[in-house]
Amino acid sequence: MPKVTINGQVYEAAKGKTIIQVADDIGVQIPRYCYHPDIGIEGSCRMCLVEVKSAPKLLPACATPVTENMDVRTDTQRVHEAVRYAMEFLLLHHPIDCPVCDQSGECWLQDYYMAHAGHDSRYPLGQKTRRRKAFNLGPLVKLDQERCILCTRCVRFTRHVTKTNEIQVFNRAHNSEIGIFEDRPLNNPYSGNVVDVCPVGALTSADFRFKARVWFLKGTDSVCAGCSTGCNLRIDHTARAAGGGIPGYTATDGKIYRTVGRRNVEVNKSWLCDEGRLSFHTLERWPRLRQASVRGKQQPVSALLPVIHANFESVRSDHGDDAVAALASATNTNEGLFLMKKYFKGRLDFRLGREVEQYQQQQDELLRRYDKHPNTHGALDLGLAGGLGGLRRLRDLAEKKEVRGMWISFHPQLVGEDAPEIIEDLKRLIEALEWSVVCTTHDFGWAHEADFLLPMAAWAEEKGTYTNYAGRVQIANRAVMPAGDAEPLHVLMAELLNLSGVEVPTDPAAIFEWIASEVPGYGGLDYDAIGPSGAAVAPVPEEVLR
Amino acid sequence: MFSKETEDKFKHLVSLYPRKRSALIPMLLLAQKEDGYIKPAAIDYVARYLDLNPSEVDSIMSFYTLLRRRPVGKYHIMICTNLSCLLRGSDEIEACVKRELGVNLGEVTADGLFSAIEFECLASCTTAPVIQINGEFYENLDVRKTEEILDELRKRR
Amino acid sequence: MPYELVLFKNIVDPRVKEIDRYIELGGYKAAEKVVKEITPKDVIETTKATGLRGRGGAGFPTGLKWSFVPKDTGKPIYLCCNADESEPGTCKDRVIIERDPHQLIEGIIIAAYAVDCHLAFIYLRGEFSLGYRVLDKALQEARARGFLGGRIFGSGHDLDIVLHSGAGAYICGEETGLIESLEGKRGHPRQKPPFPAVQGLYGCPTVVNNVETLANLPHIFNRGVDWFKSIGSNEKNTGPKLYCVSGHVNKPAVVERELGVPLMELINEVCGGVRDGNKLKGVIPGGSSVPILRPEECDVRMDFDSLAAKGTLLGSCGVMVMDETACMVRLALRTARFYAEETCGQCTQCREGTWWMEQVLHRIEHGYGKADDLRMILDMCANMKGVTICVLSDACAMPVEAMINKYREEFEYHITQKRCMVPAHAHA
Repeated sequence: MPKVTINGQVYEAAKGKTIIQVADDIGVQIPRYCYHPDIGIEGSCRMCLVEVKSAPKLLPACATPVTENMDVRTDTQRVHEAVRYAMEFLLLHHPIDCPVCDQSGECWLQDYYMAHAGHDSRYPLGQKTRRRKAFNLGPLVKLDQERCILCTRCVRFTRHVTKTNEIQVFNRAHNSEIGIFEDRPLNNPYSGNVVDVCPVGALTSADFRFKARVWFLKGTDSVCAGCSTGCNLRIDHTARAAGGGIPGYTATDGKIYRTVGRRNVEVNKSWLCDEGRLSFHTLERWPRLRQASVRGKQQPVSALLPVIHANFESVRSDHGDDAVAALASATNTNEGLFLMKKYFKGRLDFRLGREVEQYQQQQDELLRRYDKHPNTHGALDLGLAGGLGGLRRLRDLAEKKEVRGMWISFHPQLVGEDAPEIIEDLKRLIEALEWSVVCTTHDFGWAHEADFLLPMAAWAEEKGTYTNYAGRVQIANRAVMPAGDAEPLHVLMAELLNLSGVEVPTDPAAIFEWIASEVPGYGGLDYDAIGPSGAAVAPVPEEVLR
Repeated sequence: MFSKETEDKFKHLVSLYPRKRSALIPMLLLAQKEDGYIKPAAIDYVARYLDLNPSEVDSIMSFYTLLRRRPVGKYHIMICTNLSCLLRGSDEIEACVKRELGVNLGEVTADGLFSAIEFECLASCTTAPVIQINGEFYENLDVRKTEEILDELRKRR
Repeated sequence: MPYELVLFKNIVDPRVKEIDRYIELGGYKAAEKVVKEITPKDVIETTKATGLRGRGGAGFPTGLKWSFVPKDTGKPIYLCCNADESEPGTCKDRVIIERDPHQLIEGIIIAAYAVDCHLAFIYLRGEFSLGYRVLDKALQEARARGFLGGRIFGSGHDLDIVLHSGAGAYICGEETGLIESLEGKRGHPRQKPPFPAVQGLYGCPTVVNNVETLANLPHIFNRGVDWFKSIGSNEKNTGPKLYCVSGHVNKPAVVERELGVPLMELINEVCGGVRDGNKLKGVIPGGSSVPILRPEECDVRMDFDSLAAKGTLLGSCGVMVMDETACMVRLALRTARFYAEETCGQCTQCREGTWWMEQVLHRIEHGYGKADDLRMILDMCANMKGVTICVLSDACAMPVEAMINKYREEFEYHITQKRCMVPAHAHA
């Protein structure tokens, strides 16, 4: 462990780390454009120059490994001058179109200009080099070459991460430009990440462009629910209550505007797949189910739950405990699923199709997995793949009248489409049952065939944990309020349990403590231990998988 | 896509290097020799040959001034205007070529015979001013000599 | 005592490019002796002892450079001959390549043997069509003789040389730019360390040596250390040297003299003096990247250290002579334009600085200069030096800065009078 002095303070640094990595670890700010921890070192923007004792020249912090007794200064006049001039050079041809630039408010040129430059331009405005503006690189990405500072983060993303190499630097010298060959679209499944890594307004999201000013948005750390990988992301949404919000938009419920990758080296580095990135749009794909109803007649949720409880009790007493069952969704949180298991006394399953076979299978070499549910591992950990045999088997049981009353939770896949045969099976299941409750997020036509219809909070509308394909438990936070009267599943289940005489908390963190005390592998964990980047639980035992 | 001879040369080139990507620039030079310039189809072809994205090939191509995406004249004139040539009168040579050709630098004459561009130092400083035509040096030039060279090429067609 | 030619001894012989003639004149004896009789370690030690410094521009001791190559990595070791001669004012390597190619090949064989390299590359400037044909033929001849290929000269050493053509990019003369280009990429110089000796071509240990440097080797092993050290101005500046004297002299020429020949001797005695008896205005001694010397500074020896003491560099020995008819503003503009054209564009200060400098010099040259322009250019120069991956940025800033500082009145005249100070603006 080399001892390194940075600005007079001595630190122990891991061998092989670069100056910028050590500075990042200890919170010393070093400006940078080309350096990004997940896409390889380029060392070309020359913004991270620092003074190292006994080195005649300033050294790039991103490309200089620390050595024993290295004495680094990031705060000298020489360093400030170098950064200030780098900024002047970078801004020479900048179009200064901040008022109409989507990056405004999260632009590193703006930030570093304020922090390190603050100069008046010495370049005549009318003589700036004009380049191609706002054209499509692909379905998700727009390029404005005038704003590009040639940090080549996007180039290196396609070189080192996707290994597809679509984005390149063309020409050389002052004529250097980022682009694609013959305008062949950038349409790899991870294209949206180049927008995340672009520190300036050169690459913007075709999906998010001009929808909202970023300073009106609030960011909530969460986890993608698009597949079993569980990539970490940040949900950017309106939230008037928290001090943000778009003027004129009555956003008491909040609205999601975009999601961006959140770094977690254990899971997704800094990346999201495009499907996952856009999966929040699935929430707007059908009308939301806003109110509870009984055979088409609207009722308050609070009035309905006692009736539902009474019905389950009467089926149980008339036909035995086995006549009641439940179908859970692997898009629900561990907390919701755990309480559901408690209420249904273990008579529940979650398998709609081949989740269990697929949840660890990779769809490509990066992030995507075939199972489009975020919590299959969690459902398995909670023992939800018991003897009921999944949707198809439950349908058989209902048709044989062995199961008569059922609770069916349904959360649509956020990525891709639920297979038509699943919907078909659900319809037949409802038809075969004597009575049924469908608890779902959207106003699906088929769900109206159920006797009771309950609106359920969707992803991003509830707080809870998912356990990803690798057995990493991660917290998904609530960014926006549920639609209408919808409630998170764990709240509905807590109330049903309360009606049956079991006192249950509705706070997800408290429910998780209960999980930790009962579920193998979750022992010792709590929300603090899980934190923003998750914690590993023991893997699913073999027998559960079978 | 290319002649048998060029294809054979491609194969030979790729065999010369420990990693085949090293053959990229020599291959592009050969492709250009055959077609006069590098066509998008040639970029695709070379990219497939070397397992590269055509975007990479195009990017690399655009870095090198001898590789071009547009056709040039049958006689492509590169006029050195760097310091040593400048000191020895490259202004006059440049003016002479433009006058003789009747087109601006970077353009091709209507008959497709000539094109001329300004070029960086050609490493012929002690025999300045100098031009290259299709890769061959013409040294110690003056206006009269330049006119004679162009006349000669016109006659040769 | 008249200078005895070494590198150029056979240059006037039109047949020396043929291997028979080269051998007849004593060629390949040194390579054979080295490969058969001397250990690689001793080759390196001998070369170190001669004090031979790289002739490409930086002047780094050649033997020392070789000694940095790690021997125990299990990776192949590569040698690249830098034949991408592109520094404005420089045309010495081309003469060796076109007229005495075997001298170079013999040098490569010796260097490759010293660093235990079995595959060497000649990175040849794409513009050298004749040079390509000559070298290609010479390599074939050497292969046919068994001087290249398996077990060369009947020794245990294998070596082949690949002739690789560049495609027009000055920056590929920078050794890491050359390596990138040879890997089939854009010629972007790499951040150092790691130096090529440790991590070069394909990530393997690599030595990059200039043509003229390599051409010295056969002579060293034919004639010995003491002979080599007897040539030159002092212990640190030894051996023969090629000088390209161009511009306003009566007889421009590539000439060979000892390293450290007095600059004025080169101009007056070797190249016939300043053109037409005109007054000397300045000399750029080492290619366009180095600071200019005013006439009163020209009493200097042409070696690495004497020129460094004058605040300039020997560089690649591209000696460009200007008489009183030269306009410094025009020359500064052309210099800046060259670098603005040739920068690879990866580093911010270089990509934008060279271009901006050209813009400002352009307006001064054309009579639109502003009062503050010179201060602005000098400011740019100061902030382009020492901050980028390679030294192209410095190579633009240094000469322009020197021209402005040393001929400031001319630039000011351009700005205030909106025309050239040089009568008739004569360049020819």
